[in-house]
Amino acid sequence: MFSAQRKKILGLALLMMFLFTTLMIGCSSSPTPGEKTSENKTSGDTKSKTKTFTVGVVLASSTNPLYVSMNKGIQDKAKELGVNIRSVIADEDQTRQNNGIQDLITAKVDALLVSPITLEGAIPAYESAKEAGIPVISIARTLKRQDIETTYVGMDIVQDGRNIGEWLAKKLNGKGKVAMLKGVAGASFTMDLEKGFKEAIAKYPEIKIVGEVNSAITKEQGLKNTENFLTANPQLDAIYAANDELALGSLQAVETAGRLNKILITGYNGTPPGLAAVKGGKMTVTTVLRPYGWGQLGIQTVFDVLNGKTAPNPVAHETKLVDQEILKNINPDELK
Amino acid sequence: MNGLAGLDQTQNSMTSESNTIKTQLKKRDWGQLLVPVMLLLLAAGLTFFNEYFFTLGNLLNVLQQISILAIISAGMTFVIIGGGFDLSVGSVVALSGSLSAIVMVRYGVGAGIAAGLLAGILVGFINGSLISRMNISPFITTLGMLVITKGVALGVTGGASVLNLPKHFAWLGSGHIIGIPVSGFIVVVVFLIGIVVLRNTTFGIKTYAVGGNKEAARLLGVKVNRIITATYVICGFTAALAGVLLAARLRSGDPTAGVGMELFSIAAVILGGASLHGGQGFLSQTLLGVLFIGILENGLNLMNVPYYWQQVVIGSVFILAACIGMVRKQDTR
Repeated sequence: MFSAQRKKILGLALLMMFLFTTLMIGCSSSPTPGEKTSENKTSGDTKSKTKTFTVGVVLASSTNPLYVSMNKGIQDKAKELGVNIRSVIADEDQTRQNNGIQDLITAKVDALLVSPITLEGAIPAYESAKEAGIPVISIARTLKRQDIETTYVGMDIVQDGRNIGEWLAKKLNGKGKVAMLKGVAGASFTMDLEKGFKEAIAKYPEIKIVGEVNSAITKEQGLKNTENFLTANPQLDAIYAANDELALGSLQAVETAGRLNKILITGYNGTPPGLAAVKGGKMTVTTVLRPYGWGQLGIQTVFDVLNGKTAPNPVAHETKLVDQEILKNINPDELK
Repeated sequence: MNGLAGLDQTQNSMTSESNTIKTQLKKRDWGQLLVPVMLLLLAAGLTFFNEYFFTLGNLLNVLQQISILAIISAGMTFVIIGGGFDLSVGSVVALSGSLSAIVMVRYGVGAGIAAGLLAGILVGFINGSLISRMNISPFITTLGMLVITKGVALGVTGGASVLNLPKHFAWLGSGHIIGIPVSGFIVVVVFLIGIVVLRNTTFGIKTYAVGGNKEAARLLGVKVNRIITATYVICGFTAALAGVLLAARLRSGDPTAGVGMELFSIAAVILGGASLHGGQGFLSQTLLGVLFIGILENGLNLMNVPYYWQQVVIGSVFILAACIGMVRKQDTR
């Protein structure tokens, strides 16, 4: 009986501690609403110059390196612009993302910056934002619905493909045999990249595509398929890989075959191991996506929209093609 | 009518057992007040500290947000009272949602919904049969079914979302009747039916008996296997219903939807005062548990608590719930 009593007290104490902690966390990290309303009152009609905007940010993932550094770019740039950020993290769960967007609408953010997870599934949340009169800017992925999406901050992957093709054609002096590791079949980014690359290569009749294969994006697949390419085409001059992982696998096969630096390898993504391979002169070229800069551009776009400027649709984020030469002289900030 | 006579006999022979159950049902121990009190404190705190929380719009928003978890947890309550638990519900949500989407695109809304619900019932039946007849532990069985069901969901959809669902189907997920979300009505109906079944039917009383002491129930003539199987079928059905609603809300059948919901729904039921040892629990309390989790998540978002810390808070609530469970268990013994 006594111990049961004590347990009850212990339970209640735990409960109080928990509630207290929750409120503490909540209060300490939510200076936004109060600040904002007072700002609103003082700035009133003196246009938006003195008003502190609050922007809700809901990215697709909190662990994917691309979104991690995109988020960093958003946060840093927001500080510079004097914009408050409220983020909700969805972790690739569409329901969680929609709930988060709904909560941010309730909290009356001025605008939303969202990377929708499943496109179709995000539509209801976008519609609620529209109903509430809150502009939504998409980043990284687009719904392609201009009625509910104010604009889209994204990169032009087809153009990236063209750039890779142009760069390769120049290196090959307009002549040679190329094999393609195209990555996942049917994924929009691999198809866009392939489309741009082929467009560029088509202008050089003496460059021949001698092999093409779709595969999962893994080193293993890059290795295996490159071995096959090398067996079928001993005179191969270059390998196009839709992703650095594939390119790194390909590199291993080329190295084993003793053809390093005789076969050019193009990657994509600019992952740290990919960049290291380009720096070391093994992989020939890659394209860095610059997610940090992407995030900066995203929040800048939101800021412009809130200040009444009309943003183009889409807002183009520029990636950067880098080879060993460019990497030697580049300011590391340009890769971010 | 033979069946009914049999039931009466069973009931007579288990009067003493069912009396203790009834007194348990009536007994309002302090632990049962805990969830409502916590909920009130939380709501009061949020109302005080956040200007947006206690608004009609936000409360309806919370109702919409909790509906999926609430429906899953209704079925989970049956399983947990019956002495088991079900890890496969999250995957059933994914499977029934994507299956109903696939069927719906070809054969219409009715057929789609039916297909989704049948899939859930089937998974529940397999779960229940394996657990009761083969005597495999609920953990292993439902964990296996979690993986299998997830695989089937990915397999039938080829890993991609099923799109282009009919417009009027989407109304189920995001429509409103007199300003109240349709899914909110569905939650109310599910819980009302569930409460009546648990309180006022012999099936309900037997479920408590089986969960409380399987062997005693068996000796008293309760068909334990059937009761256990039935609880898993109910759980599969509600998970499937939640899956269909989620597909309507997302306007697509997403084979990865619902992941992790099994743990949240078990947590909601335990938070509502049910015991993982079975024989205890109330649907109304489960609903409060779900509300608590829903309001907590909503409140943390409104208060701009970083997601990482939100997880710490939510995890603490789960452990707290378990603590309450332990204390109450020792209390009742």
